[in-house]
Amino acid sequence: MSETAQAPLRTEDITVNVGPQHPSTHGVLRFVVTLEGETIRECVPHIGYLHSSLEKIAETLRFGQYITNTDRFDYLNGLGNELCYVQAVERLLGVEPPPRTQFIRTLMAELKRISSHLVYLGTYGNDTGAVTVFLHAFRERELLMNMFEAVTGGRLLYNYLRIGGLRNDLPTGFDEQVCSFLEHFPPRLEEMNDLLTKNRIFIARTRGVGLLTAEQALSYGVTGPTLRGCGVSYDMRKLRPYAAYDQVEFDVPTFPEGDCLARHLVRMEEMRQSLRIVRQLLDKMPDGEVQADVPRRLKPEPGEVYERVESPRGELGCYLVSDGSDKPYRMHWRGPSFYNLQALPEMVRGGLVADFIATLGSLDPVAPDIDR
Amino acid sequence: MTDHETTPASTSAGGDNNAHIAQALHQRFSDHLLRAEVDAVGTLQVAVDAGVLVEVCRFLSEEAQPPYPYLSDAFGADYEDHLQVLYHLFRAETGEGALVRTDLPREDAVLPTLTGLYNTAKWAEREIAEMFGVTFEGHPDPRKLLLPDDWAGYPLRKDYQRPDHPYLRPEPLHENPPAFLAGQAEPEVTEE
Repeated sequence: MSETAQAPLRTEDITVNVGPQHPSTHGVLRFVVTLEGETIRECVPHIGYLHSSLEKIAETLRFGQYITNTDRFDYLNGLGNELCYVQAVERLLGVEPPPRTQFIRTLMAELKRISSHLVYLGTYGNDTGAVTVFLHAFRERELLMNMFEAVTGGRLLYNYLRIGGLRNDLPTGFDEQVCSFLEHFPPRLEEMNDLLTKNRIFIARTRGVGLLTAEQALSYGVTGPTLRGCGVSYDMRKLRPYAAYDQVEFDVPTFPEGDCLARHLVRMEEMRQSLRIVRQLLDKMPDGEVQADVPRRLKPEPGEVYERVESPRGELGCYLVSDGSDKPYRMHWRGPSFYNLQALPEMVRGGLVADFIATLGSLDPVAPDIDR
Repeated sequence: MTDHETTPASTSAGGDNNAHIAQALHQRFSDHLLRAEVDAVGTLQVAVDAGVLVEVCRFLSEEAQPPYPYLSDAFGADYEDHLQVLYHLFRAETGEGALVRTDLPREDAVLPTLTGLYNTAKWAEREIAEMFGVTFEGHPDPRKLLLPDDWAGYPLRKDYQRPDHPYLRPEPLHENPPAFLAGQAEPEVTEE
């Protein structure tokens, strides 16, 4: 008896497999987490389950045909991905889309940003144990989905942008639809904010959790709300304005704490800023054509571009090489979730296993955006 | 509209600032530097020999004034007679970028790793390695990243032949098209 009591306690690392099917992974993602008691010693992400070879597919499709594929990797930001791709092709071709097109593209990208952040808000509430917010957020998102459906005919996959323009102009009555949303949504957003952000359990689960310093974040190529939650004001819309972002006023919210709460607060504030942008775009919306003159068969001069836009998850990059034929010679996507996820082991190492899901959710990863 | 389109020109101020970095690169790495110039949208375009890749990146990240301290993206391209690997460096304050590229032979494609300079390179180089068959010497974790561990071949190379697998065989309809589809050519796209 006394011998057993005096023997040193034998400890053993436990390996826990999170995923590939787990409600919080937002897709098919797997992590092998090594635990020492409740403390995470190491976390190894295993990705690639949803690799869909979008870069290779691009080499077999004409420039115009590829647009439909861009909706499909970061499915919460379809119109934003289309924007990145068509801008890259337009830069290759030297085509300038009409002003109205630029405004509509920006408008749709910002509505898409709100819709994406609403999905984040709902699912992050779910991840941290506040299931109610999910229902509220998805109810509001439904209004946005109806708008996308009215404009493009699709709810998630749009195929709406065209090289040099848009498939169609905004439908009649769309302005009123957006205006009523602008009136209806802000109080609901504050309600959700009260429900989640001011909930002390939520704050306890996110404050000081999943810490990342600005230097660490930058060294891993982390961008988007995750980087802005480390206090770095890095936003492509502001630094290198594209589409109609130079025509509107907005702030880039940053919070210096670098924890899950800071990332959450950045996204909440970004929704408010997006509403501000949408309002200004509607007020200033010019009339006119929505499609520039481009030939039916696009054959850009041999050359290359690297186009960057701000997706709700961070910097989305598109590298496009043309060899003078009607198909891209090489295309590469920089998926923001890919590089954001790379920093996850740094954020969870030394933390508690209970905080792992809270940290993962705060990155707002989209699995096909990681794997492309 | 015109305002908007000239916005990239607002980086032309930045472009002027960066022209001296291109010059400094020319002085420092004259023999090994194939190209260093600022393009129309203010990106510093650099092409170097593989031998000085690490030194050039270290120069851009640490010594250049102002430096490009971080790596945002790295990717490859296959030009049939050679491979190319590109690195996109950036500044967090202004968002300005530098695209550093290096050519390497298809056979025996070896590059030094940049993981010592940028953590970003850890995953990016693993992806390039499995997709293009480039070996990154000194990489701390050279496993496959997106592909299964037993995958043969380098899918993003132009001459890649996909493996024979029941799931990857053409649809029966494509092999034996029904009569009403047989003999129909792909519709021609007319030029306008």
